[in-house]
Amino acid sequence: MKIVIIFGTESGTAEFVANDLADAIRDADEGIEVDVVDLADQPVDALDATAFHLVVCSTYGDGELPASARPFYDALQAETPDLTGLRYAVFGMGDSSYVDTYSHGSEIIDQALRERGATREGEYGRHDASGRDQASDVALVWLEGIRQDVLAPLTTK
Amino acid sequence: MVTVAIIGSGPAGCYTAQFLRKRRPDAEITIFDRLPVPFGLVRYGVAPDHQGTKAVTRQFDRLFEREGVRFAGNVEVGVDLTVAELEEAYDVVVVATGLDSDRRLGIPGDDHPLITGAGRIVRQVNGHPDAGDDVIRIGRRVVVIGNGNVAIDVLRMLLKPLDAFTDSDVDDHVLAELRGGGLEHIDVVGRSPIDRAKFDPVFLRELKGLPGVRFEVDEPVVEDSPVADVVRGLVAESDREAAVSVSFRFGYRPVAVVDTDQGCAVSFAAADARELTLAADSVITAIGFEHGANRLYPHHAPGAETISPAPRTYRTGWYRRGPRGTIPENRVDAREVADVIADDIDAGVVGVHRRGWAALPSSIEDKAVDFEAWRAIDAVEVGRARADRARHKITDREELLRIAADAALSVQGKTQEH
Repeated sequence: MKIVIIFGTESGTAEFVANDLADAIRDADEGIEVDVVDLADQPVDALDATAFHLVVCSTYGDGELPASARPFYDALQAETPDLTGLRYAVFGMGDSSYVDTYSHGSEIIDQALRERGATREGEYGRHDASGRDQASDVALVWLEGIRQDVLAPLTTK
Repeated sequence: MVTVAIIGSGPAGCYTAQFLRKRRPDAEITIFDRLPVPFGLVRYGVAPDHQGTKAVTRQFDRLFEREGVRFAGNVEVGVDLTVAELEEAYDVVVVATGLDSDRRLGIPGDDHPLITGAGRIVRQVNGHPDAGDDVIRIGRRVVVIGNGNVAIDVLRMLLKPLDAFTDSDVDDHVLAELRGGGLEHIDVVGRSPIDRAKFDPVFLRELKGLPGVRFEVDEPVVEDSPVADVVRGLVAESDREAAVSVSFRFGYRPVAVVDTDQGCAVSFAAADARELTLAADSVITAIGFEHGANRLYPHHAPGAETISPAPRTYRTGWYRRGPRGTIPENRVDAREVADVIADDIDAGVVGVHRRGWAALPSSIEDKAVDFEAWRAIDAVEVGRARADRARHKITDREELLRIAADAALSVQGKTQEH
């Protein structure tokens, strides 16, 4: 099977996490093919519904999308592609000192994907930059859950 | 193999190294810093209670740990090593030294001893080794000049309850000293009208809910803008009985600072000829940053954003573009600069024959603090922090160097065992 990790980043941390997730999946050596793609380089009409997607996305400013996710979001709105059959899980990043808008960036992408017919599966992962845990550590724990709950049933089918 | 020297290990230097590494996996990259510790503005210029922003260092760690970038701390280009020596040793030199001096008011009396730059205060509460032991005491009445995000950082440092600095890396001793004067009132004065004030509303909103603080404006806010909305909210929701008050005053430019019996007084003028004079025990300026006296390459035009002002020499971050833009914006900038450098290397514009680190005098290798040694310092600082702090920074340069030297010795010891 194939996993595509798409990330939206402003400071580079989401990209960093995306690469760590990819390394973990490759290291597990289960024959899963992994691609890491910046949302800025992902055309909305070329999303591969046969692959499971991991969306890693940070939050910027007043609960807004990070820079690299904005063109993707705009294209989803403008081109309204039919994403029925596309399955994904979300790992959102934010800073809980901004109480009202914590982790909103990923939620904007999540909602836009669902509105186009895609299906979110598994636990919604979150990392809080104000906490003491490193983003990648939290993401790897989240990935374990996704593997058990979502990916394992897929591979055994 | 191309050799690259980057001067400055702040976000501009680290991001540039990151993107350069992606384009040139074979490059020998050294990041120099005049301090024994890395990360520049992230460690010393980002407010200590913004740990989320400081967490960007975790991606920079990886440069040094896994991507073969060398950290050479405690090496000051221009002092330990001349620019000419560096250029002789490396194919490419990238200047990423930022802007380290608070911009002065440029008005009569702007050298008054009660005036302090906000950057200096942020460095002090961040435990900067060169910020000086003479921590100012702000006194009862403070005038803050400037309406940008650094002014908000200062307000938080002065107004937030001490027990609200949980998990920060604030220098508690400095903070207590700074606030020890029995603060009663802060005037926050900006040149722009409220709807054009540079405050980021997200930052400004962090002032909401501060206990014991009453916010006021000198005239009713009728404008409609994100900043005006937040200010209106601050005023409406703040505690009327609070012991400390903060007045926002928009549209005044400072005219002069004069000495008075009690302290000093700052006079201001508005566009409509209104005047204002505020007495103060201390004045904090937060009107931007500029080049300090020790600027490298003084002949490069200050305003121009040229990436490569001379052959093989490149500029990145605030040093190139001036004091504008957040850390993420500087990432975008760094990518552009790294692409220009990599394109120049690909095109043969930059000769690839200098030996880099190996060409430097051995005195540099002897005094340089490497990343392993920084990790030893890091471990000591984290270990010394009280339970509700993320880190207790060491401010004494000698002590930093001592820990680094011990770490280097123990590494040597280990290698000899094999």
